[in-house]
Amino acid sequence: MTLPIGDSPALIVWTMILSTGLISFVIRFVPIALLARFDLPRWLKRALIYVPSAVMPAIIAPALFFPGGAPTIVLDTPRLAAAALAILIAWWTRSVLWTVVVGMGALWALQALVP
Amino acid sequence: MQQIPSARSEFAAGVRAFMPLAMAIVPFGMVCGAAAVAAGMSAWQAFSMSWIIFAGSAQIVAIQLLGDGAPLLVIVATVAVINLRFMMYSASLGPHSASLNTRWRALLAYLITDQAYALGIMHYLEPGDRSLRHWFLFGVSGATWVCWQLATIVGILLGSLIPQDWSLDFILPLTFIAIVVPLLSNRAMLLAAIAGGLVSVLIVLPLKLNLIAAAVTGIAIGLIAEKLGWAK
Repeated sequence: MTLPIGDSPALIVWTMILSTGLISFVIRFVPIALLARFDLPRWLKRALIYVPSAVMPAIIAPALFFPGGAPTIVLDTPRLAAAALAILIAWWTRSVLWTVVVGMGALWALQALVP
Repeated sequence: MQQIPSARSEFAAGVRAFMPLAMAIVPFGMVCGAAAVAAGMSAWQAFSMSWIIFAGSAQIVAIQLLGDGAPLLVIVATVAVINLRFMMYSASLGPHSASLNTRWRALLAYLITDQAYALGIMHYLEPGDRSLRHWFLFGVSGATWVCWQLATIVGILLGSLIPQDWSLDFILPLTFIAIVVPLLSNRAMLLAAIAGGLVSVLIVLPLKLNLIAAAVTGIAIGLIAEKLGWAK
């Protein structure tokens, strides 16, 4: 198996880690540093409310539909069925642990049944 | 008789409030550590990510994008989009932190996570003396940090030992499903989520810009739905 990042020079990897770390800190720090005095504009607050709802499915969907990593949709039935079950479990239990346990269990069972 | 809270008791209460969260943090941290090593990072690089970035979903996406050969600027922009929610958390902590010096604010800001923020802000809003409640937030978020680093180290050490055919990469979408599904309590949130998911798989953009496009589309759809009165 080839390791995709293994081919990147160490300098690139470290630059990525440091620059993403810096932007993550700036995003967390600037509002708390300033907001004793300023408030975010109302439209920005409204927009930020939708960030997790919009971003999370954009991470989930490629993990489900692009199992090979390539941007070609592959219908991997055990994965899709296990994910659908996990959505129901997440809705009922609101528990990360139960969602992961039931989802993984369903995936293994379906992979054993569908050769 | 009401006990007068001290810094120590607030901190201890925060650490205790963290305990149930460990069940979610440990597997997620392990997956992050294992994913970094599996993608070809050195153990030291993988561990550095977990304390320099300290944001699991952003770390995972950054690893994927780097592996796919995305330009650095796109990786940084995508991480910024994923972490935009922290801006909202940080802003809402601002008024509660007016009496704190810059060092305290920097510490609390660095330690912001979804779960620690949720517990911390609930505690700030309870009645009673609020002057030492930053110690509670520090207790929750500090414990989260320690737990995350330990879980990451375990993931780094075990990641290379776990066979590929266990499909443990599937824990990642499962974790995100568990985080996002409870948020979809109205039609505007649901439409934002559907739009984000569809754009991420149906539209192929150069330079791995899909996630940014998906986020912008999802947010826009959510705001439009809200204007139509569907955010009830």
